[in-house]
Amino acid sequence: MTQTIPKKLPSWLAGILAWLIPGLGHFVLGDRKRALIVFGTVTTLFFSGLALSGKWSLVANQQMGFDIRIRGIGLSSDVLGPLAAVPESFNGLATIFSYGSLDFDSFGQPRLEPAVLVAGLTIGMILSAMAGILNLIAIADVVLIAGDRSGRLTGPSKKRDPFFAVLLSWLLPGAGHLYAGYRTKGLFLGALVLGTFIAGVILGQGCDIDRQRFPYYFLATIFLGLPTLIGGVATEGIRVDESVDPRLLEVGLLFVAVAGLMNLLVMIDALNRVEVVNFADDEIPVADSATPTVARKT
Amino acid sequence: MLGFHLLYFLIISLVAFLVFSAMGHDDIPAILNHGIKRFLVFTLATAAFGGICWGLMEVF
Repeated sequence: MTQTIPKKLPSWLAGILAWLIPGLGHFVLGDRKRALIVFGTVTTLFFSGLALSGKWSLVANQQMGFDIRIRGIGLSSDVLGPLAAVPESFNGLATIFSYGSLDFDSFGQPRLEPAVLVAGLTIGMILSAMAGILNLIAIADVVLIAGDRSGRLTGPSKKRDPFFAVLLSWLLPGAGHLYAGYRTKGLFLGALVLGTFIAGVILGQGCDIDRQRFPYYFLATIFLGLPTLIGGVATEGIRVDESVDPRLLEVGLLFVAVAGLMNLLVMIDALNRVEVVNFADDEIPVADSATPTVARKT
Repeated sequence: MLGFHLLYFLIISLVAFLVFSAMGHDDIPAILNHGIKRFLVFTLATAAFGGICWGLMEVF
């Protein structure tokens, strides 16, 4: 195997590049395959989300008072407008340019297009939010790679990939641990987090995955990738009315938000586990690479 | 109403303590053991703190 000299870049610069254009940090560091995957996935999710929601994703948080809070601390919303479009703002240039393309009326309110489909508003908002979170994970990955470059070589490697573990955990809680070889722990964490999420959706009577109505809770919930997408699509059309018990809705919101934040911890733990396993693989050479390299506890 | 919120608060606390314990332990009995122990200590500490605050408010 030929080994190429890895390209180096300061971590902060790699992070900024990845924030500006998804995949650019990976591209500059020489990981072109991953750069292409990140760019393609994030961009497709972002623009399909914007198209489906009629660009409502960009102003969802402003609509719900975020803008007012920014003004409250003395910052101009004209400057921070695109950045207030969290979590899309983790995808820098695309968010700034898309925000810039909005048409504002004389009262400073954006003129928004109607959503493409009836269900398009919810799905679109979740898709573009997923693009932001996915790019946040990619930014973390490229910062770690740039920081760890001295020990890392480009080319095929049998090691498990921390980025992939985090991605799996984001999509499905516990999947990153399964990937790292921690089977029982992965299933335990998955059941715990998903159970809390499902309990939250049931308690909230299907009203609690609503980015327009509950943007702050949604920011926590989006750390559960696929469950939020599937839950959001499945509960599309359910609106808060007299039949919904507000006390149960409040608790349901809390449950889904806690599940999302717990999954953030699970993602961090999955990253750590994979790095521990990779480190152990470096320390203990084995003859047969097809078998598990370390006697891992479950 | 208070009991209702207390119940859900306790459930969320238990979930959080189990997830935190899973980060530090490898097998399920250890996770459950440590998670539930931490949860009990936390709950007792919270209750004690709440009790002290309530007592002080009553006195002053």
